[in-house]
Amino acid sequence: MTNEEGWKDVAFNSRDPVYLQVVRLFMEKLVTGRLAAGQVIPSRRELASLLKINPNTAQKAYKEMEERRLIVTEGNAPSRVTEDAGVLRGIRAALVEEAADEFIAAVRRIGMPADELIELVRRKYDERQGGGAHD
Amino acid sequence: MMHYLKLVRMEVHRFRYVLAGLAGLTLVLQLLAVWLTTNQRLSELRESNFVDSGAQFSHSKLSFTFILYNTQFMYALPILLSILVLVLYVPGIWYRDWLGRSSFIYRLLALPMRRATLYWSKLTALLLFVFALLGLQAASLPLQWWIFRAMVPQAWQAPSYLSDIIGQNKVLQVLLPANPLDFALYYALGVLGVLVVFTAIIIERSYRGWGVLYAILYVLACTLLVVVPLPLLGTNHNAMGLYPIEVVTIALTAALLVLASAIWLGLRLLRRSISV
Amino acid sequence: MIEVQELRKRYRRRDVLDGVSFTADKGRITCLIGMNGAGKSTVLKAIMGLVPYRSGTIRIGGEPPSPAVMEKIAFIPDRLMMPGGMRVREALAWMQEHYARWNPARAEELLAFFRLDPAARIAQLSRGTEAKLNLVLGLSRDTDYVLMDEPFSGIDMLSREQIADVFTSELVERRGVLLTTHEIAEMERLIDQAVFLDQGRVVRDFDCERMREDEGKSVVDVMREVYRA
Repeated sequence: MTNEEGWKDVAFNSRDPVYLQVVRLFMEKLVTGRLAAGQVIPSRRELASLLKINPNTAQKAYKEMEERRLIVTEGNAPSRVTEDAGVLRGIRAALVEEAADEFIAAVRRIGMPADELIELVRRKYDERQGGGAHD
Repeated sequence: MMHYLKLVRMEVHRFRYVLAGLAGLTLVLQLLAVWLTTNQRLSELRESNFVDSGAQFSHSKLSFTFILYNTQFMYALPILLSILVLVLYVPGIWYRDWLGRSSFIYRLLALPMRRATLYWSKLTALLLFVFALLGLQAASLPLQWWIFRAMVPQAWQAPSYLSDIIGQNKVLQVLLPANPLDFALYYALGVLGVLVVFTAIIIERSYRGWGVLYAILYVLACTLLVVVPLPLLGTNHNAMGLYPIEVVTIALTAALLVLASAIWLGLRLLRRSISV
Repeated sequence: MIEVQELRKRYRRRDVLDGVSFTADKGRITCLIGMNGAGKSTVLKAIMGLVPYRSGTIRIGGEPPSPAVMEKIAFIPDRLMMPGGMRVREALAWMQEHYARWNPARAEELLAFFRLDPAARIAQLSRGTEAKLNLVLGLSRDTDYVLMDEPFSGIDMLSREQIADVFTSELVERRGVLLTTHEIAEMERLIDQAVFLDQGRVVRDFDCERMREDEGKSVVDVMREVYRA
């Protein structure tokens, strides 16, 4: 976690609470393995200047992550990613669920039967997997 | 106290080139005036002494006072110029801080000090300029005298007395009056005038548009109060039949009243109403 | 906390401030937002005692403005406000002379961060460089509060980015920051509290994160609501 990569140039939107967007950024990094369990994360100050957010917002995000047990801070030691496998699994589930909610909300407006929709999703998903092999 | 001394130092620093220019000009022009006049008189004297073939020496000597008396304009020019510059700088020392889009007055008024410090520092700086130039003038007189003695042969020198020297130039006479009471009076009136102008400036800077009118009226009122009793001074006969001591008391009271009100009003407005 | 209550000021027959009340907390960045002429700058100047006001009260950390209180509050005006003949080094020395809570180490650090030349003459600085020096002068003092008047106006993009970095750093941490702007878009994720001024009145005053959380609106969205009406 010594490098600045992966933290710079994160685009936040201005309609969702910034601290929640930071929490989400951490969740995504955890799920995709860019942050490993037990890894030391930047200090609040470092994160604020890396992400170009207000230090108070960084503080609030860390507090939220501590409450959700995403990260742990013991005494004066730097904060680390949790090693609790249950929490990490939970994050994965939460992210996928969130994505599904968004997707459903989007297609609902078009009004497509669920069966057709699932079929479409399966086909697209397989196509992507196949296409992804080239990368 | 620290703010005060630092601000005075800063004001001196800001004016240093102008002050040095005036000092240099005074020094050079006056020495030049003495040198030129002495030279000219010396050649005239040589001619007449040659013609008279040493008959009546007593009428043909040169004195320093005589030289000074004959240098009037060139000698007084740098003094008059210095006075003009300093008089213009009385409003200048305030207004320069408002000058431009990036005006220093923002910083000065936000300093963690009583605003009166700013007021006194500006007055002190002006007084320092006046007395520095005056000191230079006083110091350069012996130098000029020395030049005179070096130029004129001993036999042709008539004696001069320090007390007479200043009396030879009309401007010097006013600037360095021999009577300490006159000296005190002139400079006290000078300070009073400066403070009235300070207050007028602060009135204008507080009320802007209409402030100009208020400031003019204020200066007029102060001038009237101070000036009206003055012609009565030193006369035994006046329309109201007042004793001289009464006239002096009236004049002094009026002047002190103006002084106190100028300071009070100036400081109050500086504290409460002035605007960047 | 800086508290402004019922501040009123008339200038040239216009109510420049028409009963302005708000607070700016320590440890938060509060932003006064409004069009030109809304009275934002006047509020800052009134807090600093640089303009008179007709009525209202101002408290800085619970105290009315006084010479001693001026040590606790730094004002960064919209221009540098230093004599053009001074050099950068002299400007720093002047501040150090007059402020007990000047932090020389921080001044050096900031000078290096902004790459300012100590020997440069102030009159010769570009607008961007001038703005950076202005920040150095204000932030090198250990004050509880910092007021900034339009820190981004008239400044090139690169300088803006450097200046924005200040708001994400420890320089503003634990202090109460009160700034004004008329272009909120680039600032909106940096501020904690938004106070909208319109024609001398506070028309909205809210916590930005709470606004996003509760109503899903950005500061710019609120701004559109306010000024479209």
